Amino acid sequence: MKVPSIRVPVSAGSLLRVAAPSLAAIVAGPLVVALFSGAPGAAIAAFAFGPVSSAGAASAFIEQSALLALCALGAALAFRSGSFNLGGEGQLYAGGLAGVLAALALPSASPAFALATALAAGALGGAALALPSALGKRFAGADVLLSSFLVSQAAVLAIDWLIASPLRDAESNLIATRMVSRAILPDRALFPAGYAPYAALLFAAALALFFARTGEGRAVDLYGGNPTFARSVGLPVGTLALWPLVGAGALHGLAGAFIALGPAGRAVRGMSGGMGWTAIAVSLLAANRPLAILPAALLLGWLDSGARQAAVFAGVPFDAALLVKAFVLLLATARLLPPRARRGVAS
Amino acid sequence: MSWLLSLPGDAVAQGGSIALAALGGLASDAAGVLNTALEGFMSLGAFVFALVAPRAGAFAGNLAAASAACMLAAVIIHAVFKLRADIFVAGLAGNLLVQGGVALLSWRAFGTKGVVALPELLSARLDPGPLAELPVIGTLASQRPSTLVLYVLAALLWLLLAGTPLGLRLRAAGQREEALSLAGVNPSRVRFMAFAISGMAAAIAGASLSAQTGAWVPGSTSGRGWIALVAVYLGRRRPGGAVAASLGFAALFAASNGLQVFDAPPELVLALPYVATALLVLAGKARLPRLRPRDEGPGREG
Amino acid sequence: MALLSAIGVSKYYPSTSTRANDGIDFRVEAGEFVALVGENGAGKSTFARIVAGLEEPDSGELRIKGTLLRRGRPGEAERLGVGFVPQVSSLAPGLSVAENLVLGREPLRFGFLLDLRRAEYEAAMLAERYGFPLDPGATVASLAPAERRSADILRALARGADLLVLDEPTSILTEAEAGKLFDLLDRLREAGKGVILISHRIREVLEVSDRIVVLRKGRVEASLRPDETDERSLAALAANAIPRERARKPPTAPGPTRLEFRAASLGKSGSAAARAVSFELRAGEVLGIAALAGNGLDALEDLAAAEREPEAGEVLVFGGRVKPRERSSLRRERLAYLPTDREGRGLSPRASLVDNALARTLAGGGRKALRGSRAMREAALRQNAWFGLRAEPSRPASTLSGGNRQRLVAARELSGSPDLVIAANPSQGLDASAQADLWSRLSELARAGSAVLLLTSSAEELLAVSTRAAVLYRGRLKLLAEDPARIDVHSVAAAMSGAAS
Repeated sequence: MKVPSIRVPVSAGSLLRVAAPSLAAIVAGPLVVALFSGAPGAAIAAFAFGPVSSAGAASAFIEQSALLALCALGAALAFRSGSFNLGGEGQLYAGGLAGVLAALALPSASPAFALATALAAGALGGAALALPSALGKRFAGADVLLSSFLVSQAAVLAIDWLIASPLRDAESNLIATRMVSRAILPDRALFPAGYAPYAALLFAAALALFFARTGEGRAVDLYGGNPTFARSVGLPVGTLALWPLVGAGALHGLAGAFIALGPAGRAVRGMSGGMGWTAIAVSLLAANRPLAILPAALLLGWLDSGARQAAVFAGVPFDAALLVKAFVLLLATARLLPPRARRGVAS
Repeated sequence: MSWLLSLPGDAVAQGGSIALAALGGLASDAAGVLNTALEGFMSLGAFVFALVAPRAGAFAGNLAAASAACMLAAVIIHAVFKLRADIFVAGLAGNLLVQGGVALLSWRAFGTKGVVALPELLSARLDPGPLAELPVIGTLASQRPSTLVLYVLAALLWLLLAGTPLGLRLRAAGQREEALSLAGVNPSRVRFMAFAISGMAAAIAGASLSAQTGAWVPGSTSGRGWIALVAVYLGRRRPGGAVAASLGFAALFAASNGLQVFDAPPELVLALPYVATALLVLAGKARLPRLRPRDEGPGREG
Repeated sequence: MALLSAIGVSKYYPSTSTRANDGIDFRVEAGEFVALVGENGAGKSTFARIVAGLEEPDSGELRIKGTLLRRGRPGEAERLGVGFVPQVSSLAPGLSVAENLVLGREPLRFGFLLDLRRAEYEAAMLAERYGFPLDPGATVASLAPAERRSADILRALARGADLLVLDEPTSILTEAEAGKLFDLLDRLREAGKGVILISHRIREVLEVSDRIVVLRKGRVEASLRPDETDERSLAALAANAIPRERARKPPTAPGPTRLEFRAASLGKSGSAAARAVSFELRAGEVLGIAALAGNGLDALEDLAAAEREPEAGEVLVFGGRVKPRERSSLRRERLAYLPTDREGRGLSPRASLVDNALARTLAGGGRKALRGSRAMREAALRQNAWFGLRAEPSRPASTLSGGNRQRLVAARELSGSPDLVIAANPSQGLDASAQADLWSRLSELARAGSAVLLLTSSAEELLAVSTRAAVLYRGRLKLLAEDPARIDVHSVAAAMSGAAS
């Protein structure tokens, strides 16, 4: 299966390749918002400066970006191993639900232990949803692109039902589960943006180190580029087909658990909100490099937060952000410099 | 058990749109530019049709849907050929573009992002006369004309792929670009045409969804574009196979609608086609073609 | 009037700062068969592509039948009658021969439907006229390599070519198939067409061409008639260095058995299968097995490299069957494998040169250790430099030229001291000097105690390296000689084509 290019040496072309979609986002965002608003000035202002207009908005923006980064790190891990994981959305959702269920099941445990268990359950939930695709790839040569999307779609619908019917908190107005114990939620005075930013930094550093410095990381790249070669040269292809994709699911699931154990403190129907798709754009924008994912996530996080602000204060539908993300995704893999001479010395 | 008797008729009603979209997908696949934006094209068609048809009639509605699809195809193909973006990713971007754009435009045009009832879109069912009394055949025969148009278009697309010079060139473009360029045919142009054809087919398939429900329902495609894509591979990348697989999926959809009668949770019923397809894919029965790596083959260095 | 006259054609590639063509003068008359020879990188393909109008020269002029070839018009050369047959077949494999022939100017029925019957009729007429034995309705993928080549040529003729430019048309053909192809080309020459043939095979060039033009570093080194030269001096002219002596034979003191085939079979009952093959390969020897395409050499390669399991019989590597789990540790040090399919099995194109060079180290225990990137880089540089490959190690392998990719794979597999070496067509795509290096390295490994299995489709290569020689014909192994010094190329070639000896 084909996967977008993996690592690009830094050159004018690659800089442009990152700069152009970013610029497109920065220019197109306000433009779209203005176009669809009755009060373009207010809409643009809300879009451009909304994310940092107040301490609360800034924290929310940072938290969103960090969650996005976590998912994008997962996406990058899968992409570099040659698996085009389109199931992030479902993995995120499953992780959120699993995290909340684990937290609800441990009402009397110590908060630290309950939180750790809930996060682990979230990661496991996401990983469990990625596992069928990984097994299908490993044992039946099934295409991850198709299978991960389909499994995720089915899971999203099933979780929608779980949250709306058997697990629903009847006392709440939200379509959501019961709330977890407040004790395990981050103290917002100490951690205004929750725990997710720390997790994102930690995993970005770990993955960067993994790809740059370990043989295992090199093996993932070699396998992602050419599985036949990897098999022939003796790399452990059986495990390489499995774990990066399952790991990607776990990272999405972890992000889902952070969402559910965030301000809401419960699993809300539709809480994944398209983040799985945006994460793909982030990862591609960063050319699948872990460290580059952090600024890319901040950029697209800004877009999301800005669009939300514009929706609240200027009445522009939130979907404006989708349009802009689409442009970013369209340009994310583009190579904007003319190709070099195709053949040097031939014959 | 009445739903079981009307199943073939319902399947035919639903199958037309999937089959047309699947044949479109096949056209793009044959030319080596697999259209991962089928879902978006269907959505676009459904919306543009709902926008135009109430004022200008069904024919103009379909025409507008097809033109809009052509424009979207041009944007995606431009990104792929001129900016050398990845075709899969550009297709995904196309889906997002439609999702966001349609929501915004719907909000602008209809004042809501939700459902808009447009009963004038609904064409009358055919009256099969005495046949209507018969079980199975009754529902089979009383299709809407818009459904039949889909099957006619699907047959034409099939003929285009299998028996015309353009069909031959599409296949050549997917198999070996040089076969065309050495014959003086521009492969990029052939590929753009294939992609545009797939987009238009999906858009008209999507338009029929609005025509059949008599409303603009956001998300009315509910994964049909993806299902059509899977049908291409389940049908072993042949027109007949793709159509057969599409009808199979339509039967699944129709059955899941029937099951709703028994108070089954609608979400779970909606999930059934995905689960069924996922199982097929996971068993390795439906595979994407191995595309050539995007980096051009021979080295650029001596 | 000359079919083609080129004066002062030059082409410079700024991206690699190479002068691929440097003032080339070249002429082809009607009915003339001109061969273009030279090492990798001498500029042969570049010149061919310029003649075909696929690339534009920086300076110089080209006239086809007296008409000046103008720039910026891609289809012009073809309209003037140049037919280019690229190295890799350019036919769409899933379409029939006739469908490929009519692409771009399809006959119509009812004004919009493809008239397949007329297409096939026209193709059959054309094949008949030039005596090509081809079924126009056959799918290209179902044709034998030689048939596919002739279909390529037929396509050029169908488009009105008077000058055929063939880029290494015989590289994937057996000698017998090549012979048939040259018979066809002979007929075209008699019909007054001109032919430019690019080839590595010096003997074949001497046999078939009217004139031989030798390119070296983008310049015309010599232009000769075949009777003015011989194999040795022509090779010397083309090569940058004089070809070395035949590799020295390693002493044949038999060591322990490293690889053993016991009546091993693989593949369907067609000709491409290996059937009940038995042999033993011991440390210190080079067992060469030669076969023409379609005689089961691929199956033998898969079995020897433990890529696939035999369907019957046994293959024992180091005395046992290779379990998938053991593969990494084997490949890390003990088992070197240079596959025929270098692109598919030998490289990961998007990964860096370093990663590709050290892939075997990653396969074993080294995978787990944290490794400094500088140490890895240096190790890769050392390994590549030793095989004459100089390139920035952080670049993706896909940016290497074909020849350098071959070197990269060879450098990785033939470094260190593996116990068992499976070398399948090791010198394919290499120029003469790299080929000589590779052959002497294989002999050196055997002298140092490796067991080397050489699988090749070239009789010359078989005799240059093996200490024991065999051929595979229709899937069956036949030992030729315990001492290859006693046999010559002609008897090997005869055995490869199944002649009784």
